[in-house]
Amino acid sequence: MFSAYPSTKTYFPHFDLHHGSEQVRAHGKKVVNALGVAVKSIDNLSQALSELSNLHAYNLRVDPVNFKLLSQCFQVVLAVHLGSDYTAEVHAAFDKFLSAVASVLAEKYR
Amino acid sequence: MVHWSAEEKQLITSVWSKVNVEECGAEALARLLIVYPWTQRFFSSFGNLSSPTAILGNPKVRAHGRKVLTSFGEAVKNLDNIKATYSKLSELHCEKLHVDPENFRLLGDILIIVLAAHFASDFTPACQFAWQKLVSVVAHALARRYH
Repeated sequence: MFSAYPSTKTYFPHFDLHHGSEQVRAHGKKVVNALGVAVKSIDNLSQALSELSNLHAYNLRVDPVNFKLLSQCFQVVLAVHLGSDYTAEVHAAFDKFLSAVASVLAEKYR
Repeated sequence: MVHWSAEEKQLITSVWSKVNVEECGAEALARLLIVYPWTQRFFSSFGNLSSPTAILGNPKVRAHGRKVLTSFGEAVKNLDNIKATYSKLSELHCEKLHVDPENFRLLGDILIIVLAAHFASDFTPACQFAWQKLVSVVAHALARRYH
């Protein structure tokens, strides 16, 4: 994401953003773990992500357009790793899921 | 005019040289119709679009996907003049086809995912950067003559 969409780096002035950075790895892991929580509570995203939703709305205030950028990059990584296993159906489901997560993260913005 | 570094041009043309336009085009368009079903609104004459399997196998989808990606190749061949390359197509999409330009962005993103699945680790972050830039420029050029 930081490579494909440099504007996203503006949210991490305090990070070392070089490729392979330990901070980036740790933060990426954190984000993916949160997605794991979302997957387990897929029928109740609002409640499961409530704290994260608050954090993004009142604290981080990341412009929601960036959720779409991360979603795109996440799917590129999945495609790279899964190849033909990232079928059209899987792609559709994942895009929908990430879009739903993004909506929840932005739902308290205003 | 868009500025392309030598590296960006190289990343774009080298990926493109290995793309099977017919397969990739069919795949990309099919995925657009599957992942964003509302895009089917433009293809009511295409026959059976009732399921992902139907869409993926639909010969009209495949043919049209190939047509679209072949046209995309014109951008790759004319990186320094994409605006002019798509001037007529832009008018067509506005005046005759009535396509919301947002759809160009959606298709561009899907194309990148198809490329990533195909090229795997050869589709590096630098590659994605160059290609996101390209699809964005193409989408912009196609929207440019809208009125």
